[in-house]
Amino acid sequence: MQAPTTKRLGESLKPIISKLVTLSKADKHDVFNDIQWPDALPEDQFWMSEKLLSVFGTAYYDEIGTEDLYRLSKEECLNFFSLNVHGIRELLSVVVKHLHTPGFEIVSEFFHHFVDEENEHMYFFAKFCLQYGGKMYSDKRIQFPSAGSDSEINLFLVFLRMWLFEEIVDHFNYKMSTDKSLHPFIQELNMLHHKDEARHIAFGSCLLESIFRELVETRSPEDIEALRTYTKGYIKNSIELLYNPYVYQTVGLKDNYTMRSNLLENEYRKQVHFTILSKPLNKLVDYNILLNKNFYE
Amino acid sequence: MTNNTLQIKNWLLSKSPETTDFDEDYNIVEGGILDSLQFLELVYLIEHLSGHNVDISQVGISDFLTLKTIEAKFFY
Repeated sequence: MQAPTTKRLGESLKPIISKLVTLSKADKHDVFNDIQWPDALPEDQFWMSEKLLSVFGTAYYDEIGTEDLYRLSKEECLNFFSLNVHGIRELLSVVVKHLHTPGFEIVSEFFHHFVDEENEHMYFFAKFCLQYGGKMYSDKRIQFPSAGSDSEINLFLVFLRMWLFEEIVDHFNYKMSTDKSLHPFIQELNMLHHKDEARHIAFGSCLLESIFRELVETRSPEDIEALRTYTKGYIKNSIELLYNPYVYQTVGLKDNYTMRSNLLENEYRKQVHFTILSKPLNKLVDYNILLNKNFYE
Repeated sequence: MTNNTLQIKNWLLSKSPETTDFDEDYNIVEGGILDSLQFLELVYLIEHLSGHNVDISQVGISDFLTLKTIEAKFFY
């Protein structure tokens, strides 16, 4: 992937990039030394907010006993943190590849802070999973052949994926950071991530809007429509990651694949997805990347 | 075509409305029937039908190119 040769990425965003760099420097922390890791976390408590559980609002939720709900919440927390680890790995590989390369001069300083902070996030999410869960849920995605050689479209897709992932995660982080039913340590980790992600999301959304505005001016209506179709598909795909059949299997819930399919088709759950995606959907419509918020159509 | 392969084929067709049919040697990746957004769902379907976990570290895109390669790799 190469940035457009006639323009440097982020040319119109210098003031905001400068501000974000200043904020990153002011908020510098040391997760390797500063976090006080409890020896253990109680099993008879929620590890993920009850309303964020993938079964909430469905007959499955009504049928699961309290103890199994706690176990499910632990596994869904581990799945959520595992998704963060895998997602960050992908983000880091993309961003590092373009540090101080032609076209990325303006954004490189912010990229350094981004890499620094995301590395820390990956560290503490992975450590949490391994220390308190003894595992991470595996990443079952695979590298596909690149869709095309249009560097500006590929650039848009890369930043779309990064930003959407961060927005979805942030919804969960924010809710869990203030949920008193969760152990204070789980609240703390979620707040730590939320604070850094606010800057990353701000950067990503500005960049995305800027790149897409240029694409609308330079690409065909068919290309733009293809991007909109992909965006909807990617949103749906991202939500589906939250429903892991291995989570249900671990808790001992029957017919885990069928359960997953049923949950994804459940009308109440679809409405929950719109809530999770409320902020990014609003922005995507504002930026004209989507024409409406119904990514299911 | 086995029952498992047929179920996978029908699932792929349901995701690709503009495709009416394809044979077991058709390259579904090059042909645009299978893309990155559907891949995880396909893996879960294969696991569900086969009863086995798919270890992603032991597979590559070439294992998913055709119904025949999918059958050979995951249903033995």
